[in-house]
Amino acid sequence: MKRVVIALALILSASVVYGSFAPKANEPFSLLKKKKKKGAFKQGQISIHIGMGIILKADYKDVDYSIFGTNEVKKKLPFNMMFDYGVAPMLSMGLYMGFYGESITVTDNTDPGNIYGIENKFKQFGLRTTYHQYMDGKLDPYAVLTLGFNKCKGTAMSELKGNNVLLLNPYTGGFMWGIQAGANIYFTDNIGAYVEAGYGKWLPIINLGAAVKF
Amino acid sequence: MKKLIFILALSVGFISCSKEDADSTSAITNVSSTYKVMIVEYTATWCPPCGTYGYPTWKLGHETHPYETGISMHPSDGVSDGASAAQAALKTFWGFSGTPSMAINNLPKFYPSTSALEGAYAGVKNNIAKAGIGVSHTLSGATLTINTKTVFFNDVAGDVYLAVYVVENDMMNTQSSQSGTVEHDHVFRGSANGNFGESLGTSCTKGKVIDGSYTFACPSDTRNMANLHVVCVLWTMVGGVPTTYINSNMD
Repeated sequence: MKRVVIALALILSASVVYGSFAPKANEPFSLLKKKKKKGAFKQGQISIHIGMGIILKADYKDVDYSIFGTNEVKKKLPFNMMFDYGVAPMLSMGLYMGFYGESITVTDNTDPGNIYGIENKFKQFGLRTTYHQYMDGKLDPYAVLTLGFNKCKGTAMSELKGNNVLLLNPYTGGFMWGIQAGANIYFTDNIGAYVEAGYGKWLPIINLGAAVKF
Repeated sequence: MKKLIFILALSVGFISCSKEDADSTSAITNVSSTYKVMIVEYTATWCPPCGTYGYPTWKLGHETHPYETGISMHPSDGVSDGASAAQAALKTFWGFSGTPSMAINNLPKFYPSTSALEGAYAGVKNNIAKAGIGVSHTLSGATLTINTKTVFFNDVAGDVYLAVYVVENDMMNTQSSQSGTVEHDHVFRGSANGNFGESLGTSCTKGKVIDGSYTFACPSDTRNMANLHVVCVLWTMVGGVPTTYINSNMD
């Protein structure tokens, strides 16, 4: 029930935000057409985003390191780059590349001296499909679907001398997806910032950084 | 229409939040990659040498090596009725006839002394764990439900058996040749899966994970069911007896 309430609240919030951005229904078509010419996103546009993520929830699927003891996870800040091309007046498609790392230290619950760990480095590649909601001015709100692959390489934490079994069947990668809502805001004709938030698998919940368009 | 698509796209993402990661692998969090030595004793609360030699050796052994496993078998005495069928089979296997006697792993018995125990211990302690066992249990009425998870870190040849034994800790009782009441731990209560366990098969290769679930009816000589613990022993069997000890663990 709590989840349903949260989901409904988020949908409602999104609706309100959308409503405040969207053109009014009774505005004459000629005015809308005029406004579109001033929008921050245009067909044929190339945009590049470089930024960092916040709160990336690990999802190791069938590889459950908790069976070996108490897990301590240290996360590094995810970095990402995105390249998008405006294929239609309100649609862009592009590539997502992400870089992320985290270390997992395991303390054997039956033998506290047996401590070992693994360092995982992730490279993420995905395809982005973005729907841009028209807005007059410098704001470019959008919703984006990202589908891709999360590749992982794990190495033993050499400073720990325990009996490392985490490399036995390590997580090597898997499907990555995310659906997020966000916005670009341009300070000049070409340079701006972006922030996007949402949910997915192996993608940060929040991304933010610099945006450049040509 | 565009509004609808925009909102639906958002709602799909957010409603996905409601799908929690299903963790049906039970609450096992103790699959150890340490090679654990199993210390075994045959002793009795009414036996004077057991208090003079057996009890101090056993106690010191577990104090010195607190993360090893162990079972303490008693004939009919102050802490046990000695009626477990598995105990009878294990006594025969180690050749325990008189008390006190000790053994480690599946190796021959010896008369309890610190030097004998430490000598036997030193001979095996540096072995590599070829497999690890995780175990957890829940108590419902007088029945234990036991879950195990065995993970093979190396290939293991032979017919591998996992034995699931139940022991009781923290029993205060007199011990002949000891003053007052003393604590008796790891007192054998029985087996949840046969005298020497059940076969996990002959193809236990590196990386293999085997889950197990067992029930155990607490015997009438159990004093406090909350003090029951599970000792899991992994060994290979030939001709109905353990030939190679692989590892053990307890919760």
